[in-house]
Amino acid sequence: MTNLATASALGLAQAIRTQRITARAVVEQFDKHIMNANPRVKAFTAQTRSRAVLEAEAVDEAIVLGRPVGPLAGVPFAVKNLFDVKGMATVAGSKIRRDAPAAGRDATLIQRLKYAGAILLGTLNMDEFAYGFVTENQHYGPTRNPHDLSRIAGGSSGGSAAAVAAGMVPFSLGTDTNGSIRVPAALCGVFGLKPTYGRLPRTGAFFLSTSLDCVGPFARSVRDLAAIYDVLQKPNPAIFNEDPAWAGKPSEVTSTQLIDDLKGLRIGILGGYFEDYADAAVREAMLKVAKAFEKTSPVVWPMAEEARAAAFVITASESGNLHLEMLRKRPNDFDNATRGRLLANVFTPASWYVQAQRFRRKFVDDVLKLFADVDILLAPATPCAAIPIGTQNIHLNNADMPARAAMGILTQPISLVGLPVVTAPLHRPDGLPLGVQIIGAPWRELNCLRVAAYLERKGIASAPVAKAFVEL
Amino acid sequence: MQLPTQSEIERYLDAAAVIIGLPIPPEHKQNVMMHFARTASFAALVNQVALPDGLEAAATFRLPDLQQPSEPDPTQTGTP
Repeated sequence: MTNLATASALGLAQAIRTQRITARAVVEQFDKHIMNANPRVKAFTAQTRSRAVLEAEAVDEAIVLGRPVGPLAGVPFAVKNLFDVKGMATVAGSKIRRDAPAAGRDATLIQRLKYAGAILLGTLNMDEFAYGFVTENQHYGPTRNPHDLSRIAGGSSGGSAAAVAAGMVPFSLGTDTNGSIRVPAALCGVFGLKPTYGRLPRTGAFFLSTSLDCVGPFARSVRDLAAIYDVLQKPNPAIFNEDPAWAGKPSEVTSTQLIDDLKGLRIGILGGYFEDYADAAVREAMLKVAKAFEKTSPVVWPMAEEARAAAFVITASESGNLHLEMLRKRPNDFDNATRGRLLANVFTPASWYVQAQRFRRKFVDDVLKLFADVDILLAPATPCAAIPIGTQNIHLNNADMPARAAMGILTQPISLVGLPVVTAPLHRPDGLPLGVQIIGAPWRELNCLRVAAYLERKGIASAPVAKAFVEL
Repeated sequence: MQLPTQSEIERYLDAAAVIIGLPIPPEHKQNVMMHFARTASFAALVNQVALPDGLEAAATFRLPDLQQPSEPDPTQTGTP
């Protein structure tokens, strides 16, 4: 293997398994790349070098001795810094939680990845407490978009997307409450999967808004994304899972089912609200995506604007309650960008919250009926490409809107329903990456992955490492 | 729902801060009022939707089954 920065997760696993390279050497080379790239991108907030070396040596020993190893043996990865990592405080992008006790065990998904042989290289930057779409973090600095360092990586899982886009890891984990996987995946030009709400256990991941929070992976190919998702789904009696929202669905192997065509899948294009809040470049990119399919039908979601509003109110109420104690004790230690919002959120009247949750029930019923006629819905992931760091407002649909909240305007209504979504990156020769949301019916992640793989095969979706970071 | 005025928001926050036990630092008050007004505008959109009385909130409470292991999968025995 000549260039590890651009290698796929499965390619690395194969090279390590067949002893063309050792896991130890892989860890050392990625460590070098992170040292070189991270000062520019600021994706990593902490590295786990000694742990990584120990784990890599264990993988190498198992391979030499002919013992069975997992499908991701020796493959490096990193996680948003709200996932528990044994022995480290889970900072969740905050200053306040630097004082939290060290986690006693890894988050469930990290344990599942470790069981499959993957090697944790460190933790990644995010908006404080996952409350934002920009990853302009006051305590850890802004994460920069590897395709244009003057622009945002998106958020709140900005470090997770940027690390993958800069080739610092072949895959990563993030969380998505209102779009925090989908927005940075689109802006950094990588694939991201937000599974159905309740599909993957969140045990050991710091919450923002528990009735919306999801966990999921980022990768640079659909093949990798599916293989990682398969590992993340795989239960293990030895690994703790205390997530009350976990639905206990049987795991579904997806990585072996991506090779067929799309026969039988009916594709709808979400219009109305999802067009109104997209700029001209995004609309043009969506037209190109639509043309890749033999047949598509237009679909309009009723009350998408109200759905976004309901997701906003639910997030406000649940996050305000979650942070109440620290707002009392240490208000001045919050990030300037989140303090005022969280303080205000504490005062959300219960009646607004319950109305939003009741509206959610109606909206879910209405939206699910539409899946009688389509299997997949397509919508843009963001209203525009990555904006310059520090942008306060963006102009959308004839109105100025606060940039931090507006970047998630097209993902929030989908979060309210809890549907599975793969964000497929659309690279443009003359512009920054954009993304299309490939939205499936509940528990139909496989359909989303199949469509993403189709767009990848057609050359419409791709996730190359950003040019400035291709060489190790 | 009519959108609250700035002074109504201020009076509400002052009163609720006492009940909740969360004093709002004066230097952050304007910012908090601005964010509360934004949430109010979103709430107004949702509150104007008429919902039937029998409609249950989406977040439902479900008791766990104590007999169920945390991660049941008979095919997994601990070997990768």
